[in-house]
Amino acid sequence: MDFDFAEHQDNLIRKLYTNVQNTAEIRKVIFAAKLPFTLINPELVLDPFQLSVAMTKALYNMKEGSMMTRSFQTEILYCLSPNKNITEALTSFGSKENDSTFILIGEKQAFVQLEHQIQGKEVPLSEVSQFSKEDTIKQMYQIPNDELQNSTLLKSIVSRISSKEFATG
Amino acid sequence: MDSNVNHASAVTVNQQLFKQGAEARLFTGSFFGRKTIVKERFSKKYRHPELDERLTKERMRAELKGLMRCKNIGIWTPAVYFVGSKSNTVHMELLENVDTVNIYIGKLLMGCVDGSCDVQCTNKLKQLAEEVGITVGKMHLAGIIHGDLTTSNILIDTTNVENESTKPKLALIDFGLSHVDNSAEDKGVDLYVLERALTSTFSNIPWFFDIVLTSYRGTYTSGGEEVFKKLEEIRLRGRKRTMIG
Ligand SMILES: Nc1ncnc2c1ncn2[C@@H]1O[C@H](COP(=O)(O)OP(=O)(O)OP(=O)(O)O)[C@@H](O)[C@H]1O
Ligand SMILES: [Mg+2]
Repeated sequence: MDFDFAEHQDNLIRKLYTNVQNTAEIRKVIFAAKLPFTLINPELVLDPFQLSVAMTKALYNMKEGSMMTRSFQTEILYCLSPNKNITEALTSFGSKENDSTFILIGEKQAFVQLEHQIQGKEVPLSEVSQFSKEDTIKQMYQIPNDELQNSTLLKSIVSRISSKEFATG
Repeated sequence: MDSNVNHASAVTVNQQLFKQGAEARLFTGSFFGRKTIVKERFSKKYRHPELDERLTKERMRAELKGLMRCKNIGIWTPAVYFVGSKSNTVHMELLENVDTVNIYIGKLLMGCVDGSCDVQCTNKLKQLAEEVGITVGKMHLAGIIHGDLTTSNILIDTTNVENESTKPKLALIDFGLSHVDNSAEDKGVDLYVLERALTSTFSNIPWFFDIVLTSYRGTYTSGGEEVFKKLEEIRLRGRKRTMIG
């Protein structure tokens, strides 16, 4: 079994920004220059491990040529989602123009082009749960309270992310 | 800042085999610092390659579906971290400090003279039987058939078993043969498989399965009775088969 693909995550950075004044502008810069970054809505992210599970899956899909979306950046958003609706995944998990907090994932080398343009404050990613909304997460991932008797919210989230092609439908 | 996580060994699988099953190899490993069991379904050389690939995929799908459905209704199952669709592997949470119910009953009985239980041991077995009945009843109530309900596929949390006042905590695993169905016949077969697993190894505690059944029927009030009738039919068929065979 070959898990070299997981090491590609070494070339990726994950950063959490809050009080961002110019999210719309950052989004424009990324789209215009086709920079290898994705901006994620932290309300739906409970823990960095959730991102690790989705990123590993996205890297695997890329390596196996089984991506459901056009780029690795959008594939992460698709992988975060518990269902197979691509549009819904991109709108729910991607950040919006007016958001002042986002998680940025992208290539380490290219980050210099972007870093100085972000007018906001960086916070350790480990503090992401400060910005997450548990009720919205439970709704999005369809996690009933019964399930949490013998599971944690995080375990229930990542189990849905990793099994969605197999366990649903 | 922890934004640059070191992923150099994010996903590992230990080369040493943990368990070899009939259709799957199990390895231990780790996934971003969490201990895992990696269950790899291998191909059966005697099967036609296309059929083989289809069956393997079906088993993996059934495994994930059954596991997730049971989780959904509050039954303890391992968390799933990663599925390798090409290699037919599932990286799941390693449940720690657990015994299979099979091993656990054996350990309890070992502590008893001549296999005749003392009061404490009997109480523990009763509690366990009750919890097994509740868990299986819940699963069947939700229309989930396990498909291989042996005592090796039910795990018990051993961290708190010494405490008489806490109920045993059980997990279900190995859903490769599971499916969703409301057939009383299939549910009856689940119970029959469990009964056979128990009586073949522990013939000296025939009352154990009676307690399982009582608590099963108490939990699955809407259909347990019908399943129980099926079980009696299946037992009869089983007996005839052994008489002929
Ligand atoms: N997630 C887990 N955590 C702890 N122990 C596990 C876990 N999964 C499996 N085991 C152990 O490994 C044994 C075999 O696992 P499992 O029942 O899934 O495979 P199997 O019986 O070989 O599968 P199959 O019936 O599909 O061939 C279990 O009885 C249990 O002791
Ligand atoms: Mg098994």
